Amino acid sequence: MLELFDQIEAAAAAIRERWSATPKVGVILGTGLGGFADQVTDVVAIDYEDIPNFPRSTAVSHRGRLVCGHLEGVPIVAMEGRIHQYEGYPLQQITLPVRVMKALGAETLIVTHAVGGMNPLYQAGDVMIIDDHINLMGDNPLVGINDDRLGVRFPDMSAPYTPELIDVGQEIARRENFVAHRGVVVAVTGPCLETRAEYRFLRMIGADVVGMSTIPEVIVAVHSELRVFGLSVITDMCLPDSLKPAVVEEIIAVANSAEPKLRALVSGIVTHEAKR
Amino acid sequence: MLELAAKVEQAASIVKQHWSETPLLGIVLGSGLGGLAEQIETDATIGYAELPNFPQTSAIGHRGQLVCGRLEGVPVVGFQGRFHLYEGNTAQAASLPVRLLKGLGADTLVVTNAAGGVNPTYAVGDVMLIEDQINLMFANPLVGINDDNLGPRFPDMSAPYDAKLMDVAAATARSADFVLHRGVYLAMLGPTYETRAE
Repeated sequence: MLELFDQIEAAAAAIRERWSATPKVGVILGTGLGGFADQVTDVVAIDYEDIPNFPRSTAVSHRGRLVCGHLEGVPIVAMEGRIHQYEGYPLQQITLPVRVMKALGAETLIVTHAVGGMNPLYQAGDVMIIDDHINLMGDNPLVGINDDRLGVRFPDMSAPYTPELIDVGQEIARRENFVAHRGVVVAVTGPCLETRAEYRFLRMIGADVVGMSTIPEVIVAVHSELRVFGLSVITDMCLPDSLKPAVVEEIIAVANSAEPKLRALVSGIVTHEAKR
Repeated sequence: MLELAAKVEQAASIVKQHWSETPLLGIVLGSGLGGLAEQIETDATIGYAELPNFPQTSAIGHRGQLVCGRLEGVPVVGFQGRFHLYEGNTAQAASLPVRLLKGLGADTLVVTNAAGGVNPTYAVGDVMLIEDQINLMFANPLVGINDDNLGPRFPDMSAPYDAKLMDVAAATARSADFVLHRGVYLAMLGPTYETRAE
């Protein structure tokens, strides 16, 4: 992991050449949520391929560029398109952008992703504020010799999602009058969706929703001592006893329809963080 | 996995150059427990760096050497420092010391580790006899083509921890008057600690 430090520096330097502001917040936009980047003003967009050591996004509905600019007047960087373990990238490379955000000066990471809902009280189109997670990806981005300049060997995970931001998120949802659940996400590798037996198992171990991303980035954010706010957009319900085949186009359409809620929550969190 | 036997043989011959005895048992000393090696009347210490094919320990509280000598008059090998998967080692490399121990002629393995307690009736500072295990490390050291000289393709795991030794340990704790739990050990990859949901 010792070569990572130089890779981060090189990527951060390439971004600073194009955009000189210090971001307050970094945002990672998940499947179907890339349209959110249209909210950003004074945009400098940098393709991942123009940033040294950045992985390339190959997933459907992930554009693959870093959007630098202002949201509600606050400087932010947003990843339009994320990289997944199922694309074949090692977790250390997937999470490099989070380390670069930290190097650029960001203090907070907002992660969003599309998930399947397993808690029967949820509905497609709902959003869930992530309270906690279960890592079932079979890997960890911190495996390897630890670089103490980047973080501690054994990061504590008793509260990876900043409790204060969970409260702020729920207040925003109440004020804007929409439902925001608070629950546990489990991440699996994918890329196949889960079987009915797997959904039963994942529900049994305490997860409300299931996804194929986000947890590696959150682990690295905790390692980097960033504040974290996580949002899951429930794009389809995965109830094993009434399971219908998943249609990716529908999933993306539902994710897009949830965008107003996402916009309210992300904007509210960014504004809150700017006041700190 | 077929090159493994040669690696084990090579490491064993180097240990034998330093120490000619046949160990009865080997002890793997976990985080913070390396000091137990001081109890061993040492005949030879061999740094892991001297052993070909051995990974190096990078973990805090793990020294990285083999201590050969006698404990209670019995020839033993102590592994001061272990290899973890979170350090980037493969499971096959991490378990190489055990193969070496067998290559040296030992019959018994004693493993120790530092663990977080999830059973609410346990207290910090307690010790637990490992009765059984759950492997959630997403790796198995036996993955690969099996070398039948080292062991069978499908090892039975109905009782990985020796029942007689558990009884002996329980009797030891009773006579020494301290609490010894008996429970199930679950291994994760790490290096992050677990979340509440986990």
